Amino acid sequence: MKDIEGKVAFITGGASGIGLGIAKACAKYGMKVVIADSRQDALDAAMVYFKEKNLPVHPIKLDVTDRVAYAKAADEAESVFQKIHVLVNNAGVASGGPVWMMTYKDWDFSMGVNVGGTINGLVTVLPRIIKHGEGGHIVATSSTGGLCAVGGVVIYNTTKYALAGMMETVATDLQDKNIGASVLVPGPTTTNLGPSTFANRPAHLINEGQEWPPRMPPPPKDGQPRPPMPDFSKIFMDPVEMGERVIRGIRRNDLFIITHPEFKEGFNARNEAIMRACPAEPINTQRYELLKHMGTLVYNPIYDKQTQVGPPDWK
Amino acid sequence: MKDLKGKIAFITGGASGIGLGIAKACVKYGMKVVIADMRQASLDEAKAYFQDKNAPVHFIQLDVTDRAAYAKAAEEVQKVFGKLHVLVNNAGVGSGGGPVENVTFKDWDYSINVNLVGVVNGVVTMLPYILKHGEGGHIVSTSSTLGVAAAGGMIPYCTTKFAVAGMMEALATDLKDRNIGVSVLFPGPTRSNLGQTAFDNRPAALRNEGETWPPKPRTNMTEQRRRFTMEEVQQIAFMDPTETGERVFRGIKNNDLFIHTHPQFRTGYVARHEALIRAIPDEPLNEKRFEIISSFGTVYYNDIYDQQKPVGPPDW
Repeated sequence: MKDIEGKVAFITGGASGIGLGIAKACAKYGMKVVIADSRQDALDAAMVYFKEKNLPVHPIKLDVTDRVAYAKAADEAESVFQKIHVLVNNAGVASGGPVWMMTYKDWDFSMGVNVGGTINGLVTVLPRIIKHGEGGHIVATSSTGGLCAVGGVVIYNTTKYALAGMMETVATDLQDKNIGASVLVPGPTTTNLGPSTFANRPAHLINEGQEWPPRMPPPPKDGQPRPPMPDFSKIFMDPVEMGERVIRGIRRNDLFIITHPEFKEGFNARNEAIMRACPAEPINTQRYELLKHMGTLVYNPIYDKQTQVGPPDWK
Repeated sequence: MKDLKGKIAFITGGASGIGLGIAKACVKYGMKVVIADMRQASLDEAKAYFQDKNAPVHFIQLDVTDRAAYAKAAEEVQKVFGKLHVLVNNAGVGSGGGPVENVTFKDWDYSINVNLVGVVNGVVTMLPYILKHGEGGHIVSTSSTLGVAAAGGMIPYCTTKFAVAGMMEALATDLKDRNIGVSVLFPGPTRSNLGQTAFDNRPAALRNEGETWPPKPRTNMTEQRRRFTMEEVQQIAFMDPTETGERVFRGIKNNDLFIHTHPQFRTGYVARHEALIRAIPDEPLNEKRFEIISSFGTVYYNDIYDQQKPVGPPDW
């Protein structure tokens, strides 16, 4: 969506972390913004920033897993700003631990927010974007862990892969409706994903006997002090920079918004494995010819539309 | 898992289509098999097939979305065969076909529940049993070519099949040192009754009004497609699930992380990867961040992928 000035963005998980970074960037470039978040304290803190700068931002307290509330929130967004153009499905929670320790409650919590919440956004908001005919864009926050698997976060990987496939399909389906879609692929970013995950976990999905939030592990037995953790806030990406990259991706209609170029080797490793696993056998060409006529099944030209992304070009 | 003879496999959606193809291959190579399926009609047909072959196959009627029933089925496997080595999460449905704006919550919930949560239920329920005996094992889940590169008009299916791929790749990473291999199966079009079973198995509460099977015929088939009858298309374009089963068995034996059945899809996969690479901003690396992140193990680079060896032509 090239022309975003004056348009309206609806951002879930928009009161902190990456969502807030995106909200700030949207407001900077003249958009009206709805920040939807499950946490009132985060919303209040975010609104101090926006009110100081007199920016057109409207907060809505919203649990993205609540379908009735989501429809009400979309109505409220439209009553305040008349339309929604850009939907940013950013609300998400983390998971951690080896797969054999993951319980149904762990799975249901993450799947509910990360996948269910984004489905709810799509079903609730997309028809409204189509209806006004002015075009729009849909983003979902996946992760580098949505393109390549990582140890110890199987639930997170599962949900973030799901969001990649979802947005790639959305982009394919909506090409002719002037609505773009992007998979946002953040690497490590300075957010409060950990604390907000803890704060958002409903009581019925906390494992029995689990301390919540989890405590720091005890110091090592050899009596030596634990070495200090590096200050990751100085190393991980600032969400404000993330927001700039997302705005650029929306304007350029990038299918993938990849924010951390250092992950290239990892992406290549997965692809090369997929290639090696393709059986080295002669192609059944009669089958191939028939498959080519099944729409975008055997080759989806949406991928060809992704052009090379350049270096940072914002101020 | 190299040595499969005499070991036990549990296959969901195992009474028809790809699941039955996998079951046949497992039996052929001397495994004991539990076929779990939701449709009694399919189970009866499969029973009839295996009856006169004196094959060690046990049948369980199971809705993979029912966690209590899944736990019971796990216990039944222990009672009948004593152990479990290989879990095949194959049960799956298609729903919500058509443009994304027409897909309903019911379409989404049906696909998510069976294709994603059903696989989760398999892993949570069965993994402890596979770990318990210490003899090693393998877990396979059926994704799709649509779990590698998306296509239009099938959003719940694509979403769930991508999810299954990520889940299996992460599972393989976590289980690396536990002697349990993991594979994700990416079938192309296969002769199965996926449409029929998806329709039959759909809970009443999740049916859209006015839905039928077969669906109303499409009017936008290309000329090429029209030259062939549906049966001919099935024969030529779609793979025999018996062949799928052989490929899966080979993948389990060789511990292939990825099991592809249709090499025709390779070019499409390359297109997706090249889009990803073009999307990486052409900017200098943040060296300090790179140094820290490259020490983060599998966050930065997961060598589970390096373990995938080249796969050869059919050798069965």
